[in-house]
Amino acid sequence: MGDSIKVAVIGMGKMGILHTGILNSISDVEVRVLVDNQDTILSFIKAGLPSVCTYKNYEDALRHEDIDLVYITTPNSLHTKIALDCVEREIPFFVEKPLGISVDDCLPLMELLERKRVTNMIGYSKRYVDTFRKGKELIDSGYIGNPIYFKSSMYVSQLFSRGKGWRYKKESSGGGVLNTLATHLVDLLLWYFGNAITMVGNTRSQYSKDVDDFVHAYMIFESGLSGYMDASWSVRNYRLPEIKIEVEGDKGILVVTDDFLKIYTDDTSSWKTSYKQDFFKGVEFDLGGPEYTLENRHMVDSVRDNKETDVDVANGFRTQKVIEAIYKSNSGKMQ
Amino acid sequence: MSIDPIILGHNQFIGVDHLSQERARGRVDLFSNSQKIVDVIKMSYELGATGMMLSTHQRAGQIMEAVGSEQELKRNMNFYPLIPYVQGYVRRANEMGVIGMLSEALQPASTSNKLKIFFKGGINVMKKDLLALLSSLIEVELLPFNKFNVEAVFLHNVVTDLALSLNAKNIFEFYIDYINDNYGVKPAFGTMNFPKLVERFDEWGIKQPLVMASFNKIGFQMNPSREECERILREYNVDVLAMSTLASGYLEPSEAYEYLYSLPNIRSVVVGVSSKEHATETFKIINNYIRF
Repeated sequence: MGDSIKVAVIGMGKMGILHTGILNSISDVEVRVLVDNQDTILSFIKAGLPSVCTYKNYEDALRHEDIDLVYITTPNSLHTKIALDCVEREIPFFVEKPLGISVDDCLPLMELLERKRVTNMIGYSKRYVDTFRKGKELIDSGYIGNPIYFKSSMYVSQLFSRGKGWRYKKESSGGGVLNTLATHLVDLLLWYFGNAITMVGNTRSQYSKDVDDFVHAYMIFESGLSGYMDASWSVRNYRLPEIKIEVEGDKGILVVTDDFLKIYTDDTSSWKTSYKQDFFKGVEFDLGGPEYTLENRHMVDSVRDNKETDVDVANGFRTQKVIEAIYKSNSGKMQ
Repeated sequence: MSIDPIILGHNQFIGVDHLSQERARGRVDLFSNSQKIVDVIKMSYELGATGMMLSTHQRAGQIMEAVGSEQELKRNMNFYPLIPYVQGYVRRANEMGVIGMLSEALQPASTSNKLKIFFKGGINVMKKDLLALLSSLIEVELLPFNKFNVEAVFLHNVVTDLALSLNAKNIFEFYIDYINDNYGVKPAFGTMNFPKLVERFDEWGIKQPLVMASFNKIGFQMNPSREECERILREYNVDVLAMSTLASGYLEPSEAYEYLYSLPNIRSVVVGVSSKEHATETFKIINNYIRF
């Protein structure tokens, strides 16, 4: 197996802590450096992991430490700047979703990556959820024929008053529910169906002042497939974020959620349902869901083998373009 | 150790369903009336579920109040709080930032005499002293259970596993001492990583812990594998409260409990029921196993 992969985690919010915990618990990985501009969380983690070095400034950390892999888990607006520094220094990196706050924000990174190859990955963790992975397999294998139409949604009960913190400021988040949360759904749709060519959308703020709380969009793909996407973080009765995608093919129907997958085929004229229980396999360490462990394992293995990852930042850029097109179509509407 | 052999779970009451969130939403309607919850608790008690686990969900206070009006339940039933209600904190942290979330969470402390003085120090003082902050959170979380019989307090699996992943021995020691000293009940732990937790406790000298972990025939939520969880169960001195025994409704009770009761060290089982038919069938099967 060789030496451990030495990791630095930059940004110790919710996702930074989660990745630190998982990386510290899976084999062949050493969390060596943690970066945050606040002391509280750093000193707490250091109590259990005395060998970890902590920094307030990520540039100092990259300069002084011998690091094989960087995790970027800061507010969205800092993602591409830190990623650029990693590429310059030829250090593989993992960046949480979304890639950035706009297409322009992502462009310099994508241009540099064309010239300099560095292993990288973006945190579209839903691709590691068993049901969504199975859905992809079934669509690719032609089980329901050619996809003709879809409808999809992502909801969570999160925001029912003015939000506080970076997520609700456009300059640090790049947008509300669409850029921060429904980016997962957009990524799954592009993963399932390929390139989208036309987007018409409407976004709306109810509780937030600066960002969107609701998004409704119509999308047309290169293949001719078209359908709807609807998302909000301000609907009641969704304790956890939930995604649902329903696809009509010319031979059947596929319905996929985080929990289950249902298929109808014209051949059999019957429904078949599989649950996540049917697909479950244990992981080395579960913190917040097996998908995060699978994602981190793939990242670490790709660095060790010096290979591209399955979910590189080009996927994030493609999603960013779709999201921006939806925002733009909204602002261009007739008054 | 003493723990009720059958503990009624709470997921069905608060909109949690690991087979289908859609089904969970249906139940939210059904149980929006607290009396309906009390009816299920009473029925379960009569069928042998003498304990009840309750997460400190925002409805916990309301549910405990309704239970408190039933004298027999209040007198005889044992409660197993599961703290904290992590999903609530995550949602609030997403909505208002970590500091806003903590200030809100500690609001009830300002009306509790014991905490009044502490709360005056404000959030900035607490930020510097994480353990003081944790003790305040525990106090607030346990307020709804003040006048009831509590046998053990379970730390939610996300918190246990996070502390485990960060090797935070100090958090475990603090929690164990705090629950022992302030409540005189058993500190206990939920986990999705049973083998790792038990091995680490053994290394740290934490003796015969009470652990809530998934045990079911199909290995659902058993990490890293069913085989490894079973090995640890056989080889270590650990008391287990089994959860996910039906793999969230995926397994039939008869096959599920045949498997479960073939294992050693299973002291108790937590089961969620929402209808009389389901409760009667499930508890009857479990009772058959625990009697012999």
